[in-house]
Amino acid sequence: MAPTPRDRLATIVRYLGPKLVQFAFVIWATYTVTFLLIHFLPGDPVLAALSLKGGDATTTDPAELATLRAQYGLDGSLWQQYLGHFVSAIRGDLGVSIATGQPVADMVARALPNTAAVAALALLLGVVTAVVITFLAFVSPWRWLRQTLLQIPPLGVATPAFLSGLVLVSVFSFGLGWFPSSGSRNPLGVVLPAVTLALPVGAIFFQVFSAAVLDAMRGPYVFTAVAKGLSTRTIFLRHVLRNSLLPSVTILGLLIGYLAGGTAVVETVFSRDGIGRITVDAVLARDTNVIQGVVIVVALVYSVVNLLVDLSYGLIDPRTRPSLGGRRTLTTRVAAAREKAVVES
Amino acid sequence: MSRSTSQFSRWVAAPVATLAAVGLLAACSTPLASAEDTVIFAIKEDPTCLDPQQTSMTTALNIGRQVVDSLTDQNAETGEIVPWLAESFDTNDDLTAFTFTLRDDVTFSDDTALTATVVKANFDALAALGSAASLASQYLAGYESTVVTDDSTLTVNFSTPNAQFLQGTSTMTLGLVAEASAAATAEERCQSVIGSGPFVYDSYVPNDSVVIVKRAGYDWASTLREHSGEALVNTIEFPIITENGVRTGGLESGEFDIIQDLPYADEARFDTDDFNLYAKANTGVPNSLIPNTSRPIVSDDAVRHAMLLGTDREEIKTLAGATNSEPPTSALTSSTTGYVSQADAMEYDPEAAMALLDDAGWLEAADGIREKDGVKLSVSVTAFYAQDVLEAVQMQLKKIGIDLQLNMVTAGDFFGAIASGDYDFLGAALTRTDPDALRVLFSQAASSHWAIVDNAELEGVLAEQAQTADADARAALVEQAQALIIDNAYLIPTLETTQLHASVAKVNGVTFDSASRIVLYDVRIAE
Amino acid sequence: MSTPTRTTATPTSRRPRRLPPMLRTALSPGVLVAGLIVLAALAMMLLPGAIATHDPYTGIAADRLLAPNATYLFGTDHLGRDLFSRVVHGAFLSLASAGTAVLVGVFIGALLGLISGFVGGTLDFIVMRFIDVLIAVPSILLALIVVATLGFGPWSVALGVGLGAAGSFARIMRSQVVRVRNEEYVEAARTLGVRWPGILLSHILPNAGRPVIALAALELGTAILAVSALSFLGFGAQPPEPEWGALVSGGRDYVSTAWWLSILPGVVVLAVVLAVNRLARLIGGDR
Repeated sequence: MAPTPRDRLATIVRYLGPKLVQFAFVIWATYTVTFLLIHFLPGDPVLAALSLKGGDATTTDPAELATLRAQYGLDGSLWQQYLGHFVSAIRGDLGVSIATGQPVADMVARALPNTAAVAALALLLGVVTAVVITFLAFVSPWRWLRQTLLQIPPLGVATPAFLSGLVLVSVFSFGLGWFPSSGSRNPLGVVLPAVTLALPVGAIFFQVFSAAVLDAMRGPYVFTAVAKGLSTRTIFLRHVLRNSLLPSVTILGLLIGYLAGGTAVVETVFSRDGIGRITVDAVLARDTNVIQGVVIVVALVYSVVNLLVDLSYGLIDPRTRPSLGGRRTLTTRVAAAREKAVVES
Repeated sequence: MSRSTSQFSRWVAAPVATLAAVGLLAACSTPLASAEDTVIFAIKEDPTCLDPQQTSMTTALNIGRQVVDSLTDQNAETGEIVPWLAESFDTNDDLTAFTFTLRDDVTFSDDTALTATVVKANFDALAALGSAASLASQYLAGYESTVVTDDSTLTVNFSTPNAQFLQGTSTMTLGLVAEASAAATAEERCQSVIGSGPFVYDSYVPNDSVVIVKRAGYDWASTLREHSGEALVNTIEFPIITENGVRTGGLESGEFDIIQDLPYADEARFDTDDFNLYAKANTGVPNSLIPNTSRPIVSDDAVRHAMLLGTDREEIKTLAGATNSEPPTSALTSSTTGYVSQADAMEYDPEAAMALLDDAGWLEAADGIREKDGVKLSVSVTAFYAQDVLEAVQMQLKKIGIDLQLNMVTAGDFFGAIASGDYDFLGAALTRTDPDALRVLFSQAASSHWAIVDNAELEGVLAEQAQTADADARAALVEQAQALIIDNAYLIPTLETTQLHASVAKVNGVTFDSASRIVLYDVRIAE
Repeated sequence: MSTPTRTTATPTSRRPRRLPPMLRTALSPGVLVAGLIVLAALAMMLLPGAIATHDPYTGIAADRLLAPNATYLFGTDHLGRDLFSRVVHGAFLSLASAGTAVLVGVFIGALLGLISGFVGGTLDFIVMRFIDVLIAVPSILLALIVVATLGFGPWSVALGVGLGAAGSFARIMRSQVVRVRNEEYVEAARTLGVRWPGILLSHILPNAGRPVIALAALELGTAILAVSALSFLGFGAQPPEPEWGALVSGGRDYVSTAWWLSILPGVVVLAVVLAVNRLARLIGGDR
């Protein structure tokens, strides 16, 4: 009996429901864990904030410091602070940064587009380069060329980002003058940071993607396609690519999560505003509100991306679509795909 | 020899040009102009707070100086206080009452006029801010009230004599803001203030840039400047470039017109005809090791004296200082008023240092570090900048058998250490124009003192100089304080810091004010 | 027409006798070079005194900022210290803290994954959600917080980086344990009366272990970079301790005037990470 639309809907809900619960749980748990962690941070956020303005005139008189601490609301029990912050966060009020006096939501809203621009361009460059190199390796008739091509991407993972960034600036900014060296005033300023990040991102993606491609190449349908006389390019695009999408999409999800938090070094070298930079500054300044705000946003991004990745499994690989047969098989398959991607990354 | 002459002339160019310009101003009135409308000045850190009354960060003050004016101005060469927004001023004999008469043509950028009431609002608001405006509160120590006599006259009253107040009125820390800004909260003021200066805040994107634009109708410049009337450029952009290599590279490639804080290592690279260098020696207490004499090993006089004699300040200057600076020779830098050289007591003498330690019972052990009664001669220094200076000191002290542990922390942790007293030595400088910096640092009665020492004589001298009106008497007390500090090795000076900035050759008109902050009122770009 | 290389179904009679694939890969030039580099790194780590040419902590002021030459193989820094000796002595801090980070990650992660996969049920669900959180928190933030809490220094950095990596290890271990647990030979063993601890030791761990070890080798490279990056941002060892990331960071002001201060330690990091990755892929069974 064919599944009715109502059955299909029920299956989707049964599949989606726990995912959404998981999504909410991860966000809440991340928030709580971070809250606990940063309250173990030694050091005085009030002093850190004062020293930003005060320079060598910063007051260290205990009485004055106590007054200021009360002013900033840093008294009150841990539980009170937690509840208060959590309730405000749900309402969208992420609090005020102790160090800079600006609302945290403003700071994050200002930094996120910068980071997103660099991350998006880096992902694009990295993925395209990885696919191109894999394709060239796939079609190359000479073994030595394939081996050489396969050795290039690992360089990307091994190069420290701060080094490649500095070298890129020296050569392309100051040497050739093609791109601005810093800042986000000039839209071209996004290129060099993106290239710096594209190296490790592309390399990681390449490792998963090429492994998936090689796997797919050994599949029986490729053998059939070759026997049918299809050109290599067609084989690659029509068969191999589609079948390597599953782990590739998974690693893409993980990479986006990594990029959401990991751009600190690049932003430092290129003097750009961004999530990574304000995170580092916030930890140095013990600016708890900013740390919390950043963590929530990053966890949100990460969870949304992973949710989308999970949902896309159904689109890419019909075998993973929720069948009336059982959720168990589905979960195992999806989990298997994910594990495979993680191992190969 | 001609090279050093041309170097010399470039170093002195800025202040000499100012004096020359002042002299010529009366006779010659060729209008100055700029070939370009925008100047790009790369700064090294995010100013965080744009209110010059609240912040003490040099970067923020360098920007704030262009946006607010002060009651008085101070001649950077002679130290003389001259009128600016206040046409005339007067102090009473015991430095407790200061009377100012204001110009009547000054307006703020929100078109409100400068009146005595506005000045009163400024000082009252500052006093209310208290330690949130830490430097200002030091200038306003003992502030009682401001009495407004009429629209243009006011008197500022203090409960105790305040020797630094008049000089303070020439700084941007006591620069005047409009009544609306004075009434705003501290956080609002940090975002932007309304001043009467030649420029106005246009935008501030944190971690990215600050932009200021020309104030139309500005006509009350200080007489110490090169021209009068409006500023010569329309816009000054301050991109925030934290990476030294990117800042210097940008200057070389022409992306930036001026950059703040040229690293000393790059001095030679920009010491050519294509660039101008601007140097101003910092005043106040030089970069030093500041002791906490309540700590076990630090309390040993012999150890501190040995450290004083065992630091080769010439070598530190070569390794970590500017080429044209002097090694420190007192508890004050050589450019501070009241400086008196203590060179004899501080001369590098590692033999004498080692002899001192031997006599005190600190004997050299197998690993090269001295020991006494099983305790290693190991002390720590807590600092949040100038790591290379401390590394050099570490190397030098190791040669005489002292193990100096470095503890590089964040600024917040540095002040946390001061607040809790948890340090052997602090590694820092205290940059102030007035020699009262010694009291701020050493007097145990001062609210945020850094050194922990126990010397009644020093305490007395420091307290007295803060209340002495007579310049000569005060100078004698300051000399006495320096001698006491060095003779007791309460300070181990390491480096006189010089502020070093650079610009492309076609930029003119960059000068320093008396507080070593940059004045951009006359800045212009030649053809 | 090009045919994708297939390693199965190759008629042996038509091909000359060759070494077994594993050994063949092991002797390929890439692996040999990688092995040499790793050995050199280990030597620097364990016997710095024998390899370094000068004292890494003392400098001669007159010799500052010299380019690489016969006396100073990598040149000197701004305090006149020999860069080569500092790189050699820095190997211990960099590699040991990276190694510690991986060990922390493997220990915590594999333990969690093992328990979770083995016990299953609600415990499994709870532990895996906790792992989800560990992965959701940006690893650099986690590392920063740990370092800021425990004090700056290479060991706090190692702990922070390790915690960040623990999540991946937990996931791998768990999935492998679940897979093996459901295998037929385990079921057979159970039927034969073998107790769970025995099954754990003789079946599950060996089979689950290999991907974990492969990942550990890969993570070593990542850990070296992460430790260096955190040193670069200022969170690492206190001066004058040399550490590769700190050396690159310290030299970045001199990129235009004394490029060797940043580039040479950076190249060393690059080479070691490349070598480690190559060997890791060998262990993992790739070509």
